[in-house]
Amino acid sequence: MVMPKGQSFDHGYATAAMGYREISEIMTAHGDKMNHSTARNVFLSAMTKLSKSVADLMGEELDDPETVAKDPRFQSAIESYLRETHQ
Amino acid sequence: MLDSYYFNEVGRHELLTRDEEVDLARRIKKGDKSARDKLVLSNLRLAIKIAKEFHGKSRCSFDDLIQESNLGLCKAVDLFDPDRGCKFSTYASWWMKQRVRSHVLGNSGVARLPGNARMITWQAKQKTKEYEEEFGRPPTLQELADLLNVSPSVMRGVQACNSYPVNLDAQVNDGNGSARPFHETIEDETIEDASDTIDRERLVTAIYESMSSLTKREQVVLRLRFGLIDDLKSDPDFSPQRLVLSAQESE
Repeated sequence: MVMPKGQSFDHGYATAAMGYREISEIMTAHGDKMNHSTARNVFLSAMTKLSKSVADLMGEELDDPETVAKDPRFQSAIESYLRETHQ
Repeated sequence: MLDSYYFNEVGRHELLTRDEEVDLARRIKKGDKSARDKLVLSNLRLAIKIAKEFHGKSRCSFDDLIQESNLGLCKAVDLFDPDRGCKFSTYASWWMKQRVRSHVLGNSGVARLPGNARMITWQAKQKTKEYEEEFGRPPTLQELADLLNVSPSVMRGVQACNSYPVNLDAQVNDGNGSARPFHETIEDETIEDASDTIDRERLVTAIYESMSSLTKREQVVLRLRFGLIDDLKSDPDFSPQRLVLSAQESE
């Protein structure tokens, strides 16, 4: 299938332990009804909040925190930091 | 130590002409010992010249280099074939250089290396020099191994054997007029820069605190997405349901 022009995956894809569909199935099966799009939206909402917090710490103001939240490099960095605190 | 007497004595022996060399070599072949002595004595000057070429490039004494060069000369005298048409000095210089080179390589490191390792060392030096002249940079370990037709592990081992030991307790000047042991000046590359560590800790703390600003639903999705559920997996009663329920209960 030909990808539409102007697709926005400039920096590849972040590696994830679980796909949105899988997450939505788990959440739905356990009482929180959710489809894969919602799982993605919830995830990106969380990443947006984190991007704002990091920007505040750095003394920066983000024009477009949603773009930063979608950036696989940012997602990978957050994952590694969270993994560090999680261990 | 060889004194000036030796050099004077060596200088007393006249150089031989081509015909004399051939004549002596033929007599040596017939078992004439005096001819052998004459050929050796007449070429001792060449042995000194060869030894001089290697003096200063190694930590071996000049006397030893001359002795080794002389041994190479003796070998050349025994094997020289006048019917091949080459001058004795040309032939003998290869034997002398080979002998001296072998001695230098065998005594340059802490451990005495076997002959083939010494040969690889010598060839590696030569090839490195040629490579640098051609490409303007030293060859990598892999490139050098390929040039010498040996495996990289052999090359690495030979290089390690040829490294010089350093006295870690030797006093070095630290630039402020005082001296301290060499080992105190070696940087520990495993330690992260202090400012980087502080920045990192601040960032980790900020992210950790930001997590509390997320809704429980967001936290659960985030943890599932990144697979950060190891702590719960190790719990025998773990189920994703518990993760979700605990989040809902908290909300």
